[in-house]
Amino acid sequence: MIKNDKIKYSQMALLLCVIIPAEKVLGLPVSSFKCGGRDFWVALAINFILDFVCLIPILIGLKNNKNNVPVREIMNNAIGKIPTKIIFALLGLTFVAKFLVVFSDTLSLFFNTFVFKSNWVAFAAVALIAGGFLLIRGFKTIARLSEIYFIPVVVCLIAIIALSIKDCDINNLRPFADEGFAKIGKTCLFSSFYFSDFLLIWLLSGDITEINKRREQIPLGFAAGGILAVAVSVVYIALFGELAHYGDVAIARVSQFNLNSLNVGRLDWLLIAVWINAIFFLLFTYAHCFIKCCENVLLSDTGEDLKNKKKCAIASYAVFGIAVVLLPLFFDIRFVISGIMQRGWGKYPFIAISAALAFSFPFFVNKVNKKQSATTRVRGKRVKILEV
Amino acid sequence: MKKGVFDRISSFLKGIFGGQGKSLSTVKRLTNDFSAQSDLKKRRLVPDGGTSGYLLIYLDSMADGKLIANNLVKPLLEQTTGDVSLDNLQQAVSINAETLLIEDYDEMIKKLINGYCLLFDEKKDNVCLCCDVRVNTGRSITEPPTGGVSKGPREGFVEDAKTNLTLLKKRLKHPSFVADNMTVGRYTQTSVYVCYIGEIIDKKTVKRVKSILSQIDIDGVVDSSYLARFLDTDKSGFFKTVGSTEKPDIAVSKLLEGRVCIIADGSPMVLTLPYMFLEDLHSPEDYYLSARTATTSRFLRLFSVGLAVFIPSLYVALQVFNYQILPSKFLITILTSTQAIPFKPFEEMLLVLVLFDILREANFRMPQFAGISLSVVGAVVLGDAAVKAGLLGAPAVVIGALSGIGLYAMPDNTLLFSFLRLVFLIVGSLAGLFGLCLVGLCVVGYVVSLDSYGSPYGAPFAPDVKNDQQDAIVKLPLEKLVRRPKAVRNINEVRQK
Repeated sequence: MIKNDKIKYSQMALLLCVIIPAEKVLGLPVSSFKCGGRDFWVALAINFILDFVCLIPILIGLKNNKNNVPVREIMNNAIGKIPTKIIFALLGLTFVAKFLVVFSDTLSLFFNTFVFKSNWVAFAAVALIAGGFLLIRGFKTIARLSEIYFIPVVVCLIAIIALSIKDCDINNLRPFADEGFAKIGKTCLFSSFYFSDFLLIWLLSGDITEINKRREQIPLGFAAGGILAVAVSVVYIALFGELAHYGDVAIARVSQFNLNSLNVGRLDWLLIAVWINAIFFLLFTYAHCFIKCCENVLLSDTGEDLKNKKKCAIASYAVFGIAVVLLPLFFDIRFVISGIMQRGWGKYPFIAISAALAFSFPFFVNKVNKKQSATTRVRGKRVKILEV
Repeated sequence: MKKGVFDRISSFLKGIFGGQGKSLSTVKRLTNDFSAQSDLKKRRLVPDGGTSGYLLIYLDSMADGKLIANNLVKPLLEQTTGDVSLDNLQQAVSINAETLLIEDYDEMIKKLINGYCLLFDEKKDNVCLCCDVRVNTGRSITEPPTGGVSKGPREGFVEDAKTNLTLLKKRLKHPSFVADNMTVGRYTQTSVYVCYIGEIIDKKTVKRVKSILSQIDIDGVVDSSYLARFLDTDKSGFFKTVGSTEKPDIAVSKLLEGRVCIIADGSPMVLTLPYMFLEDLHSPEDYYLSARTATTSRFLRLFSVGLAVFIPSLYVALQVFNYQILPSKFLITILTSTQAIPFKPFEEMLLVLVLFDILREANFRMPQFAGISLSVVGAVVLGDAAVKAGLLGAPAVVIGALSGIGLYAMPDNTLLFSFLRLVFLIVGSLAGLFGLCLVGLCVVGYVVSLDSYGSPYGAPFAPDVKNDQQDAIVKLPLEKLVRRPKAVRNINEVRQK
């Protein structure tokens, strides 16, 4: 779990391209349409642009972090240990919430689209066992899987979009912004919880290697993922118009228009069946990020031995699994989370902290670099640099 | 003088001037140690004019009598007169035979067991002249049953390690081609050659392989697959991380890529490592036909295996959970043919797959004279009678047959894929597409997380190794394969300029 957590820069780019659309083409278009009307896709596009803007300082920080210093050490140096632990604790809860939202939408996809009925526990337990099996092999496994699944997943998503375009009605997108940009702005805030994917790069920055080769890969992957997600939303509204708010899972509704004749069966479901692996990548990535946050909160020193790290990782995953399986049994967790993070006050600190972490990252990295180079010169003499 | 010192002086003098006692004591020891061997032969040879003779000892089953007569006895009796030392006798013995002077008793036993004959001078101390008179029995070089090709070399490895080494050395005429000899197995004392090209390979791989082989403490190594079990890096045993080949041309091409080949005496299968998953997709013919043909064949093989593994589970999953995916005409056909079947889709498909697996296993073991009749019985029973009797549906039989044949597109992993298709079948029948997606992810994830002696098992696709992808599924023409595979550690990247 620990030894194999290093991933390559190119693998991160492919992973981002696969997982970014996954979260945003399930329940988000429908809920955003209910908030913002037919121009909700503009809000999603704006959120992606803002995410991209926040990505740039993180990439600068990544480039400057030549010694691959883990993000915990960077934050400890910058703001101290206690605030760092608080931030990671909040982030950990955020990833649990995101996991629950995405998984809840995935279940809707299966129940309503594939007409496959079961219960939350059966689904969640199976997915968590699979996730645990893969994460034990290391996050590198997920990254390598993204290299294999990248082409089939992206091709299937593009096929779903492209095969439905013939039935799109551009008039459903007009008139543009007739209810004013304030509504678009409100939708941006409403849907913000689904964004801030740059936090994944921020959190895993210490584990990303081979950064100097082709630095445009992550921005390209990010942009490609964003474009695909927005494209699905645009096609969704163009197909359904005002009926869009009756839908449940956007991607499933879009794929209904793939085939003209019902005599050929729902072969579009095969495309979704291949694409759905992207959701599993996203879920397992969130689980890994939760484990990382727990390590950063619970473990006291970077130089801790592997055994403690392993125990912490296993315990974190167990807690994560129990929370994910049990919480929805007692609460309508989807409603609670969207109530806080979409309709309620939770989105403001989420946006503020995410942006603050992104823009402060290069400065904190420079601070760590200066501290490291300062320790090499004590009274003009070179001294041995302590491993950070 | 003290008694102890006197005894030592006495032994020393006896050692110099010899006597029948010391040599005979070595011979006596040998005789005692091999008392249970009925084929141990002893002959006393006395040349003309000699005052003492020579004792020839050999194992009749391992030594060639003609070679003994021509290479040893004849020169000894005809060309030497009087008493001749073993050193001088070595000169007189035929230069075609390998001869050694041995003093170490354990070495004498080793040579005797391996078919060498030992010649003792009755007067001398524990020294013998060892001569290679091993009998040459074994299979001749023929085309191997696996890896048959329409174009390309047809020689195959045999059970004799020396012959196999000759087959490699015939093709690798370079001094940097090294074959390090080791012995494994307490009772079998199997000769194992670790072969590599010193100018290409990463020495760490060789060191690691030799270290593992030297630590094997087993009673016997009957086949190279015994060694493969110890060399495998995947301890679950599902995915083999050590390759094998019966063809010298394949072995040489692996050596030229920076791999290690391991020849075990008594086995025609030569091990190659590191080994990556996609290597099984490659056929020897790919390198003797055009690149386009090879690429098409590889895609076809990959498609066959994918179909073989997934189609039974998809058939059941779609019938049980997602019949809406099936086109209406196809659905009607399936419903019509399965209407009267007493089994559920999962049970029906399981029965078909198990019957095919039984046929396959029986086919390997049945005598040749019964093969044709029993094959017809199997085909008639499964293909016709079972369907007509309403026990099995025609679509299930077709899918089972397609799956069974498609597995052989990657012949080294047939059993693995057979097992995987059963797993997918069970998962598909219980959890439908959801389960298939997750289990598929887990299986592929496990494969890409494996490592074979520093080479990622899923290379060149996971991780992405651009250079190696030119000979993975798509094969580029030979003139474009300029560099050796980067996924295999080597110290000399350039293949051609």
